[in-house]
Amino acid sequence: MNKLLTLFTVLIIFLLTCSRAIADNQNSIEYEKKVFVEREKVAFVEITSDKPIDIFIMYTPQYNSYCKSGSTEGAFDVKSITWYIYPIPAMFDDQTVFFIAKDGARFNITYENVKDRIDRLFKGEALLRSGASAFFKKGIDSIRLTQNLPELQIEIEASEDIPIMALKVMDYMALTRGLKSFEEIYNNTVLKGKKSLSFRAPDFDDLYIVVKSEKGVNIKYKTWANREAANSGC
Amino acid sequence: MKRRDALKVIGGTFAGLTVADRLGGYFTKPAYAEEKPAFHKDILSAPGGKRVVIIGGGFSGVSFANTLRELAPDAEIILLEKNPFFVSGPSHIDYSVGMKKLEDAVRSYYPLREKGVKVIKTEVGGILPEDNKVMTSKGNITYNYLLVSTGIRLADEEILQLSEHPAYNAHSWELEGTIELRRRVESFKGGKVVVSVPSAPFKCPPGPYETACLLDEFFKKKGVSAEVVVADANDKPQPPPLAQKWLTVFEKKGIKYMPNNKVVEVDGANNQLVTDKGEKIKYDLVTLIPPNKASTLIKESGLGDPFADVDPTTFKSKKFGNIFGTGDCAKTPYTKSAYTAFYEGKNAAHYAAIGMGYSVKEPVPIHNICYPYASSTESLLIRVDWEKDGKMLKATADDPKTDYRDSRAAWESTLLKSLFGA
Ligand SMILES: Cc1cc2nc3c(=O)[nH]c(=O)nc-3n(C[C@H](O)[C@H](O)[C@H](O)COP(=O)(O)OP(=O)(O)OC[C@H]3O[C@@H](n4cnc5c(N)ncnc54)[C@H](O)[C@@H]3O)c2cc1C
Repeated sequence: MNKLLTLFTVLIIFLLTCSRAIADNQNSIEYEKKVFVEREKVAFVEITSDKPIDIFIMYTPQYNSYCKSGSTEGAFDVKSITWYIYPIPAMFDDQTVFFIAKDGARFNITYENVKDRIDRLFKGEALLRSGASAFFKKGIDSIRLTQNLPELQIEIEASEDIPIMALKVMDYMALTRGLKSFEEIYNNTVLKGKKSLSFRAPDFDDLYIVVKSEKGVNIKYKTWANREAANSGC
Repeated sequence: MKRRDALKVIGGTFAGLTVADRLGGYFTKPAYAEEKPAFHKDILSAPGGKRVVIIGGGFSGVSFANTLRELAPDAEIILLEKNPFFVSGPSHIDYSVGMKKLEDAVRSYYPLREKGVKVIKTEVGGILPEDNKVMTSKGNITYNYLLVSTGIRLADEEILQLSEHPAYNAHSWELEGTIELRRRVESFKGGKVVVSVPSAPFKCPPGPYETACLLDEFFKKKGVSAEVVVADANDKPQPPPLAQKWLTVFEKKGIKYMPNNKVVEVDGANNQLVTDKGEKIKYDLVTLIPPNKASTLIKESGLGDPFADVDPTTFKSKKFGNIFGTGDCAKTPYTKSAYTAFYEGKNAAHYAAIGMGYSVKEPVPIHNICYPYASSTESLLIRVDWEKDGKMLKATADDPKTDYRDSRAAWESTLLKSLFGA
């Protein structure tokens, strides 16, 4: 009986240790992450950090050059994020992508089958396509949302009660070149909101999320693919 | 589209607007000039019930005309095309680095005339779907069925200074630009060569990267010292599943890749591109591909915004039962390529014939085959197959090979032969 109890206790301790190890692994801070995606799969790499960090995303050739020179030149960089989702589609062949977080980040990777995902979209499900939470510095700050599709659902949420707008490139240029004020554009534009903004992308054009804040603000955005968006290519 | 609005579109242009004028408009504001007088008269007699008008004699328009000619022998088919000749888009790249003569890529529309397709050289400025009418630079034409296959419109107006100074740039997405690019490439004495890529989607997604590879090879062979740089508005080379392959090719060649660089201005006076972040990219030779959009007449006629909204199986407009849309100007899940455009034209013709009462078998679903150049001697391979409803079925790609380079040459000449018989 004693033996059984000991065995049972050992088993419980083992299971507890294992589950903590798994949890630790999911929550452990990493500085480099290699993500391998098998053909016909898509990986969604979710990156989180308690404080705003910069991430550099590289394919093998860019990573090799980074290893040689330490330079991140040529890599895709994402600035001041606390949460980020990056999809890696591997429709044609296996893909390997490296993520460099010099200040450390937590990585969580979910794999999906490309065909299953397309099937679900065509059946009418809305599926998360991309997302980020980033710190926007005080004053006017912006981020470019690219590779949009008509009808893509875009949701933006600010941590403070501040004006948010989504602009096309020429309006954005008018703002950044000082030809129009933030207020002037805000009053005349269509895609705008206070604290939050939710809309369907009108077309394929890039959109700039522009906000104005007094102390800086955290902005979270998510884009959702749906059947209509899938009909314009994924 | 109302007649009044249609007339606004005709002659609608950005010409004469300054940079500040263009930066003045929120995107709600229409981009058209003043109204033009209503001078249009019908140029053809009333249709007999089987008149099919095609706007655009590119890969999909010509393929549609040929197929419909076979399936519907007594239909009256009219092709409206603004250019006097057909020029094959894929060959632009070859020509820009001297791998092909222009005359090899040009075809006359004469073989279509011989088959009984009426070809009219005219530019269409508006469509009136409620009246079954198109408004052309020569006058109005009434249709029973309409195919819109106008391809891509290059949005120069989204790159500051480009509309006012087109000579600041030369690129192979248009014929004139291709000829000028070739001239500049030939006379280039060395320095930094920048290939600027717009945000996706754009026609022939591998095209800009092929251009970079071929320019690099051309200058190396010629002994001209050139640093080739790809400034990409996207986060990775396109199409995304080919990103890794392109970056491997660039690494071997020493081509510098700069992602996330969306160019918004070409400052030709100072030989520099300006990005949306205000960064400057110096160049000695630039080839900038402007954002790819659909013809404004699609939106103005209510066929879609910005691309024609069509069913991915039949290519029939979701709004007007007697209008079809194919190729680069249509909103479909298919790649914007010559190969898919060709098959889209074919399939749409089947459904148009069915609509006209002919007994016709359903066509096979769309697929795409493409052999992007990694060098003048090697091409990559991409093949994608879709299901009937546009759902992707399977996709494959392969590394650069000499065999695929040969397949590319055969691929284009077979397409041209199918369209023009030679
Ligand atoms: C540099 C380059 C390389 C390419 N390489 C490849 C490749 O390797 N493989 C591949 O598959 N594809 C390639 N493509 C893409 C391919 O050429 C296009 O996707 C294809 O031409 C699309 O066919 P389409 O019928 O939709 O339009 P287009 O072929 O562009 O035809 C549209 C036609 O409509 C006419 N038109 C437009 N507006 C009007 C109007 N208002 N009135 C009258 N006529 C009008 C135009 O003059 C044109 O003739 C390449 C393209 C380029 C530019």
